[in-house]
Amino acid sequence: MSKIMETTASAIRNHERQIGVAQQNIVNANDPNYIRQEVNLVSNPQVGAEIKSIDLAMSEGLLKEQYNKNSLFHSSRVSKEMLQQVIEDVYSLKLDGKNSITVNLNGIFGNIKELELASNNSNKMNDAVSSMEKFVENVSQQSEKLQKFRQEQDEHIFKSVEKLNGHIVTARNLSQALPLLKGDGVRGSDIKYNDAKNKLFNEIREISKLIDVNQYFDKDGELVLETKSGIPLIKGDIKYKVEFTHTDGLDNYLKRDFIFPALSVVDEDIQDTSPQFRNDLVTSGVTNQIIHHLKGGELQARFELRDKIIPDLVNRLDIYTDTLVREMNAVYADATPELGFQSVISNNKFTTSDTITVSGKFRIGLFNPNDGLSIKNVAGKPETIEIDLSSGISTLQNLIDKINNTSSGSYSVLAGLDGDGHLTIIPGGINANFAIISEDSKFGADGVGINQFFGFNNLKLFTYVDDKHYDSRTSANSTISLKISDEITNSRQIYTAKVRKDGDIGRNNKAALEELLKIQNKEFSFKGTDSIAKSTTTFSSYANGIVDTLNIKHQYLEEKVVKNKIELEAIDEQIASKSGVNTDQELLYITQLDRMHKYVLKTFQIMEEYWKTLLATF
Amino acid sequence: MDNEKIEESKQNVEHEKNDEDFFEYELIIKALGRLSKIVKREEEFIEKKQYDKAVELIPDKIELVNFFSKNKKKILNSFSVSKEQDLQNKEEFKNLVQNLLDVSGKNMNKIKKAQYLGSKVMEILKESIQKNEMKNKNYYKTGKSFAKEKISKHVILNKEA
Repeated sequence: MSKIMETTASAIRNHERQIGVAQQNIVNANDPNYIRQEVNLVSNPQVGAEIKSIDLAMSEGLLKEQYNKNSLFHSSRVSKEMLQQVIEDVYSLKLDGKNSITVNLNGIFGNIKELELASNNSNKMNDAVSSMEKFVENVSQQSEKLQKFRQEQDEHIFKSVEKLNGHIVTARNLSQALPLLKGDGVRGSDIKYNDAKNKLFNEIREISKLIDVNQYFDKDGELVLETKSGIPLIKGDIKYKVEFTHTDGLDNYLKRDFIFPALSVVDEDIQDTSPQFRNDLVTSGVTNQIIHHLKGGELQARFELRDKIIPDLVNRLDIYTDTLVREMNAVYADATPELGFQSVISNNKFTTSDTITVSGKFRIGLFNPNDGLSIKNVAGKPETIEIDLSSGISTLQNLIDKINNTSSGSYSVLAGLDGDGHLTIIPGGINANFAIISEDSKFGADGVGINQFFGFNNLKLFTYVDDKHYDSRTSANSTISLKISDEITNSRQIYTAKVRKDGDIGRNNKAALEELLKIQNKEFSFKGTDSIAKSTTTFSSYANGIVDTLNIKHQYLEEKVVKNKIELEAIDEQIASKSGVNTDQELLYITQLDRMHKYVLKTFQIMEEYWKTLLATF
Repeated sequence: MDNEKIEESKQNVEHEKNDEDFFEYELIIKALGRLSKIVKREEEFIEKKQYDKAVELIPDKIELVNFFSKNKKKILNSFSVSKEQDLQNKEEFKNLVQNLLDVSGKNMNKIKKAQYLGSKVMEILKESIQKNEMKNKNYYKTGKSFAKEKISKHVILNKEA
């Protein structure tokens, strides 16, 4: 600010030098009811000419500034209020507070982190997934609410445009009537004229709250009102009207599928709506981008919110939930247990008393050793023997018993330790090959699918090498087990969120939610701590990104509103007051105010520091 | 040597004592009260546009603001949260600080307002003068400048002057 002051002050001083004098007496400046573009000079024998007053030009300048500030203030005020609503009522995305993203994430990742300390704890994983599910549901609802809020803006825009058109018509009529109301110069004869002019300026003031305007009188003394981008609103007797193309096709507009004017100025008397007969204020143009020619006023705020701010936030939320689900799936893939044999630990030969850890089910498929096709059951379906390992198995003997006691109805296999201590299985009373297949493997109708695995009629389920043991986590020393692991790993389904289509705003996150629900019912044993750490960092930075964007936007708007309000009030007060303007005095004020500002700011900052510390410690 | 040390230590104790005395609650409140008064007077002067008088208050203000700036830690530490009396004092101190913050915030906004208006008025003056100068540089159709002879109808000469 002080820099601007200095520049302005110095510019003025230069001008004063140019005209030879810097004298006082710029007086009686501000009569908003009277506008003329004149600078009154006083002849001065010594210096040529000096400014006596520029009262009328000053009034016009101030009025213009008032309209300008009005537009900026209303734009920032409405933006701020709406963003406040987004933050408080819709989003709840503040950095602190009960429903903040940070708290939600802590809830989720707090649970997951515990798993690093206690692996194989499926309950905690389920808790984490449950929190995640709830969180994604919240985000999904917020996304829907945002969409609704966005649609509501259309109604507000519609109303504001109607209001704007009303003011334009009134202002145009008043402007046209002005010459007729002009009196004959006798005192008091201009009352009606002045009244009408007052009303006209009030109308323009109202227009400036809705849209940015630039007002001037042309060479014939006729009022011209146009937007700052030069699109006319009032000019002569042309009946300009602002047209808002309603929400039909809004989605297409946002997808930028075709040129779609959202807000245009048209001549009411011309029915043709071709581009050459209208002036677009907001449109999706050939550049494939939504173009806003609005530079202030409530309409700018609402269009910005509708077309830029909300879609941007929804996009961020979409990317966020999308990534959330993807990362969660990656964690899930790491955490999903390998169904079947997890670990059998033994030195040298296996013995029946060796401890074994198993879970889930595995199946044995049977097929003909001559043609490789699966052996069919009575129903004509491929025959399989399903071994349920979910309970009652803690030793190798338990496993052998379980296998030996399970049959498909017609067929069975026999398990046992051979003379070298290998655990083997052989078909029971049937000449068949068989294969260990995973729970989820599908047979083709003719059993072809099974052949891609492996078939033996004397299968070594576990083998060993001296001084080593089998552990499914490394899959050491067991070809069969390794293959089982691979097969199961391959068949583990990795869930992914549907990728948002480009231009598709406000994706319903229910699909992602359903995917998460599937995950919830699985059991987990956790190994992927690296993955969790990575996910935590990723999510936190995403969440912080969204929250930061919102908070920064809001803070910026708050500052803008305060600044615009102060400046608008200053102009309003100056227009309302009848006091004069004295250049010397103003220059002196500028210097004094600059000094005062410096020390008031310092006082404020010091007291603010005290206040913050007192609040924090008391 | 030992005596010197004892003497030095005595002096240090004396210093600390003085320091403690200096940061007595009454004195701090008195200083804060003085600053409050200055800021309130400043508010009145700004309201009446008597900026010259407001500027005169600056030296006193600098002295107090610098004092509170330099001794922030000591002042805030002088309140003991365990003592009932200190808690009451702290509450009073807090109220005074809040009040000062409010008034100086308001003053700041008023100054900003006046600064903005000043800059705007100057800008408008500048534009008006420029516009006026440009009008006087019109050329006649022969191409010769008649600016010196031509009296613009937009410029009104005050013959009395």
